[in-house]
Amino acid sequence: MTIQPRELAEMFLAGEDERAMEAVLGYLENHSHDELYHDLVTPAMYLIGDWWQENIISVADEHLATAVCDFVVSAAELKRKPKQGESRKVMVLGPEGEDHYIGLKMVTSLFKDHGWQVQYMGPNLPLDAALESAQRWKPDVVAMSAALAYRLPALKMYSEAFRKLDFHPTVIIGGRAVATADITKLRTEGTLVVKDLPQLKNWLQTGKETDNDFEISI
Amino acid sequence: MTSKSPFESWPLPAYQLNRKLEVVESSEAANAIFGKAGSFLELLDEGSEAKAKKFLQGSRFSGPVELNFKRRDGNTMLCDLHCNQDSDFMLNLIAVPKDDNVSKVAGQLASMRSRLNDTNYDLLLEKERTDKLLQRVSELSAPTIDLGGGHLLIPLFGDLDSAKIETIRDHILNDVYEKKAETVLLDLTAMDKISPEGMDYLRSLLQTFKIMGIDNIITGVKPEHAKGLHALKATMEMRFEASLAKVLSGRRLTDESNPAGKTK
Ligand code: B12
Repeated sequence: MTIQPRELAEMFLAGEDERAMEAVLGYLENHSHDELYHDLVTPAMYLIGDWWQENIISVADEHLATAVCDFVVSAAELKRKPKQGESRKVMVLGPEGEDHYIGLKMVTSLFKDHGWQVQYMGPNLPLDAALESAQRWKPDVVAMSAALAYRLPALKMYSEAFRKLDFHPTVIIGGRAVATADITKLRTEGTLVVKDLPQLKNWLQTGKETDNDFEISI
Repeated sequence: MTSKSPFESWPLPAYQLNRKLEVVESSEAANAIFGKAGSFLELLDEGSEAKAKKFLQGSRFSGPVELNFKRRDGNTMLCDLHCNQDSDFMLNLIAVPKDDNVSKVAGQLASMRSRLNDTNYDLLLEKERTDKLLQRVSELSAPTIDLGGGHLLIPLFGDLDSAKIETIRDHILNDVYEKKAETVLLDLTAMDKISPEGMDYLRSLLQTFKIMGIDNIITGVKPEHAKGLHALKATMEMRFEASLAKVLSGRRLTDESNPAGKTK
């Protein structure tokens, strides 16, 4: 039987990295990486959030679960066949003060799956460092994520700063905070607001140059 | 002595709430760390409001409840909230900050992760640079030199293998077309090994030239290439010349006064 998010969440919390990895690699035998992230791992992490709300687990447990989850996602990444293709470049990061990064890793994976070159900069990246790296590497797209609702202003500020760079990268923002926010308040020119991985996939496959159409469809 | 509330001098954030979760009293420590609020929920991070409501109003006080408080300095602080209920339905709460140890370990983990990341980033930039250099080297190993009079000289350097072909193929065909070449001189003097794919490539390149109506002359053939090239010659028309110099002077290509340059 296919593994359910609840079982995986339990393995994460018990620190059972080996079992979790086996389960995930088994799942990958007849599912795609997209399905793995969207249908299994993300729901498992959200369940962990629910259990904290129920006072069943503590933040310390969440730390352990995140470490195991990170390990499993990294292992799954090694199983992905490298794709050669377009050499468009994307830089992936979280703004300063934002430490949630599992979503970023999944976004990285999806871009790679579509043949992009990805620079994963991790979460909690100060704006100066982010701008400097972007200036050096000149990505076509900058993808950012926030899970904390009160990081939205930072995302907006970062987006505007990136848009001002002379090579005008497209900016994509996503993450739990974005998905639950009022999008009209977030939208700035040249910034795409993407709700989840399936939407990002859709953009990667169809919306290459039609940023505006896509924005409207949200 | 004024009758101070027993709460006030508590060394930890402490609150007394009514049933609507409004703050009736609070300790000095509470006000110093979190500031004042009318409703207890205002003190919390928005992700903790529902949890607090559920546990405080449901009177489920079997153990402490973890909640994220908003500190006056803007940071979030994780606390264990201990709670009991008076006979007159007042709630007494004590918040015990708890994330010090965890955040230290978490901080260390985060910095390890970011160091790994930096290394990755530098490697990526370096790789990109070397890839470009390699590509450039490959391109330079098959320059196209316009000799005038419709003659294009292409000296090939180094090994001819599939990777090299991949990089030189397009620019050779492009240059041949753009420079309107009528005769291509392929010089193999500086050519090292030719792999089987290299030989195939040579064949298809020469065939393409033929289709484009371009003559070809191959010069500088070494003994180790001779066998393979001879096999090629059996399948298609090819012209060999021993040395490049001979071809050039024979066609008076070294002489600017002969613009047509096609005379024998
Ligand atoms: C695990 C976890 C942690 C862990 C690990 C974090 C880490 N290093 O990744 C730890 C314990 C460290 C942690 C810390 C904190 N957390 Co926390 N955490 C969670 C939890 C339970 C799960 C998060 C997760 O990993 N989700 C899985 C990933 C895959 O989902 P995702 O990020 O949403 O990403 C998906 C999509 O959004 C999308 N996506 C994401 N990014 C992008 C970007 C682009 C461009 C696109 C297109 C798509 C996209 O794709 C992903 C795949 O489907 C959530 C609960 C929840 N419901 O989310 C709370 C939660 C996010 N945390 C919360 C809080 C408050 C905190 C802390 C402040 C608590 C504290 N006192 O320390 C700190 C803040 C740390 C910081 N400075 O950032 C709150 C946020 C509330 C709010 N105000 O918004 C939540 C909602 C819990 C709660 N109810 O209180 N947390």
